[in-house]
Amino acid sequence: MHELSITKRIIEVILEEVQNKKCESVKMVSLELGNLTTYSKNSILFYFDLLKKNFPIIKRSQIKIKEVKGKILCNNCGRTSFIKDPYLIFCNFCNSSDIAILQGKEFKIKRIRYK
Amino acid sequence: MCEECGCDKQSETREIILNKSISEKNDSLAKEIKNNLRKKGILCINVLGAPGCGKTTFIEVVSQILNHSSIAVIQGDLESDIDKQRLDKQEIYAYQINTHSGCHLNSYMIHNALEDMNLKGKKYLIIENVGNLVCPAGIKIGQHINIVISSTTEGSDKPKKYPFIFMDANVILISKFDLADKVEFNEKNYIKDIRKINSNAKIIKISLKDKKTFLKVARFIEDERNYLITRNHSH
Repeated sequence: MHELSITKRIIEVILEEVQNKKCESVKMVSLELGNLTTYSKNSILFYFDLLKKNFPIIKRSQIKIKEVKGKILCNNCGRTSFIKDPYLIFCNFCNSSDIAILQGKEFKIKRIRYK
Repeated sequence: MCEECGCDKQSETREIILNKSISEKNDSLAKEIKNNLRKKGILCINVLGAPGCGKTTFIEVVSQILNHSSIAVIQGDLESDIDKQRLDKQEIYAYQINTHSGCHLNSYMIHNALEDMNLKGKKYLIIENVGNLVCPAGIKIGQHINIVISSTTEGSDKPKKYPFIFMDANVILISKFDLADKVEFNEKNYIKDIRKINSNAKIIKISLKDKKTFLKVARFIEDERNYLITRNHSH
């Protein structure tokens, strides 16, 4: 349910972007998904395959999702580290949980390839 | 055929480099709502939590403490206006959003609701999000602060199972605390798990059996509004 609405939004953005580009068909859409968002990669792939059939310009397209690991800056020791598990957000060096999230919350459309 | 000039050459694959956030439209509208409310001196509070955790009860009690005439409420539910009716009975100004199949509120819904609402004289806009520990997490709706309510009866494992909702919380309220012993709520583990993902949130225990337990969170809300107004003067 959650991914259905965001996948509809992805399709809206794709259609908006190619509408003035004399595009015959979209081939590939590359996305970047942070692992600190609440979206599931597999659900997005599932919904995209389901929904794309309704839009001739994207019906043969594929999406590629690159997952981005959460990265934090420790306010205690000043070092950056990657989050191993989304439910354990603390510095890998000094174990402080006084941190700032640098990446992992993004969900972006990076590129659209079309003919 | 080439779509550019109509020649016989095969059309080539081209690429648009976008690097665009999917929630960009939602987030920019949320920012606009947040700024407009700040300029009016209205603190916007996003209240999140599972169905039945006590979100509406929290709004009822806090409205009594803060003076209900200073409060406007937006209620988010899939269907019905049961919660709005509860607030109407207490003369708390409330607006109902029904999302139907939608699992969380978004900034478009809040924007549309605000077009219909009259916030004159209000100091606080409390938005009761759809009861859900997954989907509303991280969705910007114009809020200045997030209050997450999690009841003892849901169990003490919730921060571990649903970390994202707790991650962005400014305040975490452990509700129905009078039942903690009866349901064997492990407060120590619960707080330990929250601190692994959120080191700054205030954690406050509340119980309807003792309404004084709500005073601390009401004071926090007042302080946040005072801070918001101070920021207005410095802008």
